Amino acid sequence: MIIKILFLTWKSFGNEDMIVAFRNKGHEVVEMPFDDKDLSTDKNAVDDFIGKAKQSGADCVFSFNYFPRAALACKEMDMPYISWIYDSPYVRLYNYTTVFPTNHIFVFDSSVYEEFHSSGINTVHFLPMAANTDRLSKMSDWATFAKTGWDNKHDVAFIGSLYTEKHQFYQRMTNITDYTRGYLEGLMAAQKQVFGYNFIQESLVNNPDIVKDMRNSLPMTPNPDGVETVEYLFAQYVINREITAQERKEYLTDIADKYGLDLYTPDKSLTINGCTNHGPVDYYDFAPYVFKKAKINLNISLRSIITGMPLRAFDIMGAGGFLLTNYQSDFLNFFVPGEDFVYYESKQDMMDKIGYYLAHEDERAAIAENGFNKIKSQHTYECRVDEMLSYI
Amino acid sequence: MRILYYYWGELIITSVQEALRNLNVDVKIISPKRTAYDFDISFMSAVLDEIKNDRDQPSYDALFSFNYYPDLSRVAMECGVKYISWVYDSPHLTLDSNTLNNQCNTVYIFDYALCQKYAELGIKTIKYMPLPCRVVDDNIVSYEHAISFVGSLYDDEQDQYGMIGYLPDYIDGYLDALINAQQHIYGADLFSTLVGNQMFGIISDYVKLEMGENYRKCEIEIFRDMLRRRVTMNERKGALLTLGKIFGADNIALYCGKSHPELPVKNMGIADYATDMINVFASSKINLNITLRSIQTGIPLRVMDILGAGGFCLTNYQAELEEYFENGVDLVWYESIDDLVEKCRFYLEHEEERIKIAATGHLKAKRLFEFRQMFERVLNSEDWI
Repeated sequence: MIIKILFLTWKSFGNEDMIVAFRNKGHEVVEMPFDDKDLSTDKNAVDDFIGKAKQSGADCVFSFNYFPRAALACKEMDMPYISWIYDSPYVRLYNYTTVFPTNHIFVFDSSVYEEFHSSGINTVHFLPMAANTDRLSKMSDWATFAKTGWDNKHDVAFIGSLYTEKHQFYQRMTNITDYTRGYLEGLMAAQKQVFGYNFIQESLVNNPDIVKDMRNSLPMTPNPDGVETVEYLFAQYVINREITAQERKEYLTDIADKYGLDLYTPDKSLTINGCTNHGPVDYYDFAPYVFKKAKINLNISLRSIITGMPLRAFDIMGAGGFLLTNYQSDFLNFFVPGEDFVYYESKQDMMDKIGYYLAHEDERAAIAENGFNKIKSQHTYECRVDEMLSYI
Repeated sequence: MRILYYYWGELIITSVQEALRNLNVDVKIISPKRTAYDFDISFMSAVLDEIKNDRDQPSYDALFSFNYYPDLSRVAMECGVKYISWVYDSPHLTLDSNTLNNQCNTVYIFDYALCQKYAELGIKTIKYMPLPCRVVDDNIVSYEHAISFVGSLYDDEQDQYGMIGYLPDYIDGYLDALINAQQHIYGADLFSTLVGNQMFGIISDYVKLEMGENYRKCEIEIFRDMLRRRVTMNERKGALLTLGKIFGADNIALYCGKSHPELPVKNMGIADYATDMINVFASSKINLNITLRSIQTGIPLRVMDILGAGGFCLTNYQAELEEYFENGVDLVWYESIDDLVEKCRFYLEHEEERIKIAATGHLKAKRLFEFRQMFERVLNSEDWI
């Protein structure tokens, strides 16, 4: 059955790949520019959306990430709203509109799906990320890549933020008591020892005094139209983010020192001994070259992603790169460790595995190829199209 | 083989005497007066005299004691005999004595992580051996309790960490966070990695722990054990509180030296090790074990006692359980407080399954850990594997 999709375009990742996939599957796509910064949900805004949607003749609406305005409009039109969330944490998941029966919201972190499902909310589903292996495998303009400032100089590469730029919420908490500071540092130190389970939010729930003290320094308030808790906000946007910043800095420093490192990160001013900081890389056009050329690509997941496989992992494998990632339990449901990818369980384990796979080129190449083939057969955007549309 | 056995009042003596009736070992039991744990001159003299004045032939091959006594090691060295020590306390402070590496020693420890620790310190006298099981067959009694817990809650004067008068706020907060985080985690110990020498340097300004010149530098581990004890207090109290609230105070029996009126449980007083405990285990549908956190991987005595008595055991996860037992077949382990509650609910409702597991666990523990066979191996200084 051919479906006409009203595709909300904003400065998201994956627009082109998703649209191509819908069309490859025989569906029609009408693009509608959408301002993701405009969060208005008043009657005028919703009516405006409805007007444009009806004009398009679409059967359903699609957007990356989730927008209450679109949800409200779709509810009124009794039209399916397909929302695929690639950000984590994503506070708008807790917006009251989430439960509208016209919603079909897809999240890539199975623990988030479990959280909603066990609360009786059936509009949220689990859907891992994807990669356009077609497009990625055709990228071969190495000559141009060599001329960019992004050409790899070392064997190990990491693309990602170290959270040293904007939104340093944790650093803003300057007025917390010594006790609170000690508590938060102990909590973060403990969590860094553990992969596969995150106890930050639960710990804050059990310690209201700590949360109260943090709020004095950093006022964080849940949205009036959302059910997210203040503990969620502090856990996901402040503490887990700070843990990630510390972990990435720590790990990358050790790697750069021992093996050398190509770093692609928004903060161009960051210097680490043994590391070449290329600044932010053009993600769509040139990151795949980095992934393909690097002998080892690192994924060090944002700690708010509890069980999920980050988009980065799919970008790496989809480009034919070798993936070395921190342990995230969802991987084991879709990929075979040691065959499609490799994961580490501690900093030492990571260092040992980098050493091993740098020395074992054949194994490394085989793993990268297996990973690529698995993405190509089971994790393309076309695969996801089928799954998403099966719900409506 | 002739053994000179030092008996200091350990309750396991009844199992020892029973085992000795069937073992081909010549054991003499002595109990010289001892007033100190270490460097008790008159104690050492008494033991020395026993060995030197002994006219029987052959002469003693080894000294034996449950738990580790540095003085016995010194006497053994002096006389050129072996010293076999079977440790079942944990933590056990005398293990940090400088005598531990005396070449006459063979010291059995049941916590594999602890064995590793001493191996890394260059100690060559430690052998790993799980604790023995006191087997009582055909222990049929009627049910008196739904859920029982036998053990101390490590509170008040036993809460060593709580006895510390003052710590700087930052450290207070940091340690509280570690204690709380540890309660979420089974199978790994946070304190070994996160309470390091630098932090302990500051803490020692406020907490004085000194073992003296006859001991290796172990104060940091003593401090870590105080924190682990606190975690256990929280866990035991927390579990009893939760279970009491959910299943009703009448369904939770607490056998403890102290009464706890603040907890929603039936306070039963202390269970005597010789006989009462065996009856408690058999007359309770579910017997809880919540391991003292100082025991990082090992199977504590409580689990062995429960299985040996034919009781159904529901325990926190300990890594060594997986070496010998199957979850849901020989006993049941839980991985979180929610899991504990669900499993209590399930096994209270599913009597047949529960009885089957208790019976299977009893047979498995009997086959692997029965006291007599293990005692014989220890007296012969055998390796476990």
